[in-house]
Amino acid sequence: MKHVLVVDDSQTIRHELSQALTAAGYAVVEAADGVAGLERVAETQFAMIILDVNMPRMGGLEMLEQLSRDPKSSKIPILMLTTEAQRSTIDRARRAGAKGWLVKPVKLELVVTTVTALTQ
Amino acid sequence: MSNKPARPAPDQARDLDTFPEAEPPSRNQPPPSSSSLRGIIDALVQGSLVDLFQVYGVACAPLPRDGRNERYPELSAVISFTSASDGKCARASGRLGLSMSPEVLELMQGERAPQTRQGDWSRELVNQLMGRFKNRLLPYGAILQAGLPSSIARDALEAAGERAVGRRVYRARTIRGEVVATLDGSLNEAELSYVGPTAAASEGELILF
Repeated sequence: MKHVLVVDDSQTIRHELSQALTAAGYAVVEAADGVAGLERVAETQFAMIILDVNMPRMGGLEMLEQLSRDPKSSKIPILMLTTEAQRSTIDRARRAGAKGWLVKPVKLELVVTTVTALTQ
Repeated sequence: MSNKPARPAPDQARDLDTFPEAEPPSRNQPPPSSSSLRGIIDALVQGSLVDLFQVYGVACAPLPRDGRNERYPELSAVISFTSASDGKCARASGRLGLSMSPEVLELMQGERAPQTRQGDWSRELVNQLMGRFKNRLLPYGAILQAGLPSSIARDALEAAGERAVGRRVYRARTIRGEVVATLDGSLNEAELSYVGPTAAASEGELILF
């Protein structure tokens, strides 16, 4: 079973994504910020990470850049899920190696479809 | 998350490389003058509010800004903002608030109601409202950086409004009661000027790199 890490400071968003992805056959691990997210990455081999941008302690872009610098995690596909839509912010994520950008709010089916596509 | 029909599937997702850079306003259609931008912040906040509720399937009708001094609904969350150094409104800072009753929040929760904590969902909603407002300001050259959303007691939000200079209060009606958005701070529409579309993505949209 493929593991997906969901990093978002909203418990509701994490729970929704977790339910949808679990129903689609993924094992989901949750983290509430970038620091906790990096800890989870050190513990588990993830097939995919869904990452919010604005979070306490460590934001998603900083976590993304740390992951991309580490050869152990640089190959994990990362999908950004955020309210941010500014070109410069999206470009920063692309340069850091993110595979996609979704602007909240989004339909859960689209998230699942995207995860499926990016983990194949 | 919303119950709206899905936007582009991954195979239909837009490639950021193909996204057009901001175009100057058409020669046939002159850009809005500074005087015509008067009231633009009100329009952007109200539009963002209505759109946000619509995404969650809740009809929301703005009410006239008549200076009523009624209490805000009891569930409130706020999110601070400052201006980014590379945008207009260089000195802008402030706070956007969103208040609604538990009944309205329940409407916004939809099927997720049993699993949702009110405070968490209130914070997420004000975060999404801020995102919409920020994205709608981009064509006017204003780039805001949002902080993290936090819950706030109604009394504290109301008291802050009494201290704040020029709080803007936006009321709207839903089927289960009023919603109130508040905007405090120094966001000045006199500093805005239309620069054309600049947002790289819209709400609900997927971009694959």
